[in-house]
Amino acid sequence: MNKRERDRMSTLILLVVAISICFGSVRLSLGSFHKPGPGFFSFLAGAILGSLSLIVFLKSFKGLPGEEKKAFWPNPRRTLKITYVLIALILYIIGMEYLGFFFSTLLFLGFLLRGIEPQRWLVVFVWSILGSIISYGIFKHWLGIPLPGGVVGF
Amino acid sequence: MLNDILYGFSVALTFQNLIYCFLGVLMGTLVGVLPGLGPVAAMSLLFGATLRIPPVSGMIMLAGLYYGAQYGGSTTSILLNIPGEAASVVTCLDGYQMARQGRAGPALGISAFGSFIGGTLSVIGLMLVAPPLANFALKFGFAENFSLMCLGLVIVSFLARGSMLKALMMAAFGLFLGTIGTDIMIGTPKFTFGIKSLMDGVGLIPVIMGLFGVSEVILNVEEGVKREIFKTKISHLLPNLKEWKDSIKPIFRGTFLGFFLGILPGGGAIVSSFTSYAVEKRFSKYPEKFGTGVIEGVAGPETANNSGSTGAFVPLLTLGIPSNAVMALLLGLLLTHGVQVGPLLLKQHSDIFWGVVVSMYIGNAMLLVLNLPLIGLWVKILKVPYPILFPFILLFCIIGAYSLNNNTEDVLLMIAFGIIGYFMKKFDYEGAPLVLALVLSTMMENNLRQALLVSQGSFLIFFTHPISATLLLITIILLVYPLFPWLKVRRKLEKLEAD
Repeated sequence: MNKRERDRMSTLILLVVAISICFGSVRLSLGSFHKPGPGFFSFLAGAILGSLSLIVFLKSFKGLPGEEKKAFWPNPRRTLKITYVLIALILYIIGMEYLGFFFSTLLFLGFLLRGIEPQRWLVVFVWSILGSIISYGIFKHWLGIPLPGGVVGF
Repeated sequence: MLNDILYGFSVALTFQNLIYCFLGVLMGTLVGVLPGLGPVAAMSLLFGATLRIPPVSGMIMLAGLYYGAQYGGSTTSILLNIPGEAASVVTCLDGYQMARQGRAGPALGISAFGSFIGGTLSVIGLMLVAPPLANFALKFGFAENFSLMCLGLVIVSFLARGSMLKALMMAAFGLFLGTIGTDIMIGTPKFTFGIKSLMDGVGLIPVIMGLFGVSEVILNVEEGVKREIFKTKISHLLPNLKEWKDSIKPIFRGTFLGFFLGILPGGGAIVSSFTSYAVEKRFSKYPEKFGTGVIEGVAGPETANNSGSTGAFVPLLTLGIPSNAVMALLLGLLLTHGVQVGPLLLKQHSDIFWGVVVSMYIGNAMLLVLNLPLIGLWVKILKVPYPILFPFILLFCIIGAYSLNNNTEDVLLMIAFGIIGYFMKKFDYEGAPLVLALVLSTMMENNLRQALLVSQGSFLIFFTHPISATLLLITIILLVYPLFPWLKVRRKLEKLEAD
């Protein structure tokens, strides 16, 4: 995919977003110029976004052919790792409510240290345990952030 | 003014504020040294903690983190050829070459001294410029405020790296995001889709952490960050006489250039450092040597980025307009504490204004002490491999987002913006215009609606008020500028970045 193709894709998405914003704003009521309604400003923002998206979309058809193509996901295996990271993030948040901050942090760090760029097991254990203890100490005790205790209590 | 400075010292020199200043500059240096975590993301991590301390202490700590990061960023640029943060990109060009020639010590040394001189002199500039500017801004009404914010957004887009049109699109999107929540005049929910946490609007901190923190991490996971520290003995941190002689003019030029560029919306450390490099190359008798390890290529930009980071405080503290994402975050801090921002900040909260300004003197001195003797420690920290570092960056992001309101919805919002930020980077869109617009959106909407109420629906109000008309004229000139390619200023900046 070259730069112009990427621009075409992104501006089409943003054009759809802009049209949705404008429709939503009209439903909120635009009011009048001397008494603008709640949808007035968001309509303006959506109209600007839509107009600029259209300009960039049309500009993407100009230019010389033969532009260098770059794969959007050059290394699909590495891109899959992003999915693992995002899943880990979501599971961590859900897990924190049940397992508590300390144990969910331990599992979270352990998974990322071993599952994404695999480190030696000793490194995984040491950094996970140390990281959980230190972050618990700093955030819970020093900064006083009320982190969830879960069923364990901490 | 002497009384104000003394008052500022009385605020900044309390034990509590000295500790917060020290913590801020220490964390800032660490953030600057560590690639993958920029000052914006780091400041947003600490945002929740600053809600529990007085606003002046919070401002001192976060401000220290910001200008501290400029000091720290130079270390990785010189030793690794990887900028610790964006404002240190140009330092890689000559700084790394100096390290390869066995001159890492003088490069690091002149970078620290230049940063100190630039940072300290620009604080004096801030003290001289800010009060009269705040007085002038008291004349601003709804139309003037709206026009100024329009100009701010356009300048940010104008100075953005890459396409100005795309930057403006992100600004427009940010303006929309800022409208989400409850209408301030009528109380109607706008674009909340029934989600309770959106009734108060889209949180600035989760958005910033997502766009600048989480997205950076997942992009680095995808690309795989590898770095090799250049193995050189770091000695002779104090520059010799010849190195001082070669550096002194770039340092003073960098100070003035950085400060005045920093005042511009969209300005700050990044634009200042790039422009300083271009200026030094232009002024040099041997421009062809730039890029091969000339000390002027380090001294000028490193001074300018610190000076620029101080200059960026001027619009925030005098007009209440943030000029970049960092200032937007500080504005968010002040608003959360219920502090009235704008020209009245100087009168109503002089402790915040003068306390923060004077703390910058103290912070710059602390940084000089921290950076030179502790270079060895920073180098050891640099050796922590990224695969071990990034889980902790994500952990701090999650805790930072959670700590804002003790709910998981902010964390989910952060993750959502992390994904959005990832695709924005893939499609070459910048985050700074979006964040700035998000912060300014509510103020812009209020000022626009109030101005139209006053003028009974006539948009001519923006053109019949002279200050507003001038601001809008400059805005229009900047918008049509790309149609005239013979104006080479922006082209030169783009070429420099491409090189």
